[in-house]
Amino acid sequence: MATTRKGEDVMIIDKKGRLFGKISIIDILIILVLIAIIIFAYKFFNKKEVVVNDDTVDMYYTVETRNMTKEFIDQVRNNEGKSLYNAVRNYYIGEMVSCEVEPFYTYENNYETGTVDRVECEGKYSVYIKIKGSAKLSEKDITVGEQEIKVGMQLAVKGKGFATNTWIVKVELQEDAK
Amino acid sequence: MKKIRMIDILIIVFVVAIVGVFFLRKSDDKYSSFSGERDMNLTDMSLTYKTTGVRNFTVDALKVGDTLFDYDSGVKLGIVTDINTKPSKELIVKNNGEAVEAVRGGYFDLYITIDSKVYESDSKYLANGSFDLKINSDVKVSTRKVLISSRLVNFGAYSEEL
Repeated sequence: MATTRKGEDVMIIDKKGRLFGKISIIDILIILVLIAIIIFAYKFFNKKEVVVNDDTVDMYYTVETRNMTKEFIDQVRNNEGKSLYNAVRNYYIGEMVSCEVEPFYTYENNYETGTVDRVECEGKYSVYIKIKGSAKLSEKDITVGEQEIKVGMQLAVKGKGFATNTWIVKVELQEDAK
Repeated sequence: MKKIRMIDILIIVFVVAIVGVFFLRKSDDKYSSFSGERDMNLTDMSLTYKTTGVRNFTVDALKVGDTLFDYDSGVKLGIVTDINTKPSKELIVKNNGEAVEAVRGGYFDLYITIDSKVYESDSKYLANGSFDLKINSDVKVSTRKVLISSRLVNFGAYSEEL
């Protein structure tokens, strides 16, 4: 219990639930909870690590698409030196450098011999598209524009006259060459 | 003189309890995790993750010294200390009924061993204080260059038995 300058006794919390007759204890609790939520939310949504270097660096990455036809390959080759885009989100993912082609193989179980046989599919090809991009590097990620680049990730790629689902199979940074 | 009401006492006790818990946690030398687990000891531990059926692209993109993260949460799991591969095999039941393990050429089972700082309590192991480590749990792990779906197979380094 406290006493005012006028000599009146004031309860710490009065009958109306106000602290020293001024601020509602409920208001204080709500403010504290809000502050706690804001702090928690800020920490939760700012988990991203500090970018090592805000500048971009040139990098190359290769995507693979399989079971493709010659017509597809011709269209891809027409895009050398041109911009490529994420086929789903439509953002820029880099400039096409080159296109390499290998025969496409499937694997079939041989139940006579108990082996897995590698079988070439005639007229079908695995296509490797090399792309040059300006990448931002962090401890955890490599990003070209908005696209995260990691070997093992799927990436839908489109250019002029073609679109395909690919897997990223190779990432080359300048620092790898040192 | 007015009596002190019960609600005053309850609120004062509540505030004292919150302040007390806060200071106890702050002053506790031992690690107290975000999940509330107390009395946890920090230990260095090797962890081995296994991924089946990867190609050489994935293996080539990994190197000793890379930092391994849990991809979904971003939690740092540890530093890669060893990378091993075995030929990937599939179980085939032949026409005569015999079950054999057949090698799938060009595919590998990949074992990544990391050194990790692990908080250990009576009930759990936590990487980086928040990521629950359990043998046989599936997890997406990543380095800066690679993303892999893998399974934690050993609290220890790679061995041929894995």
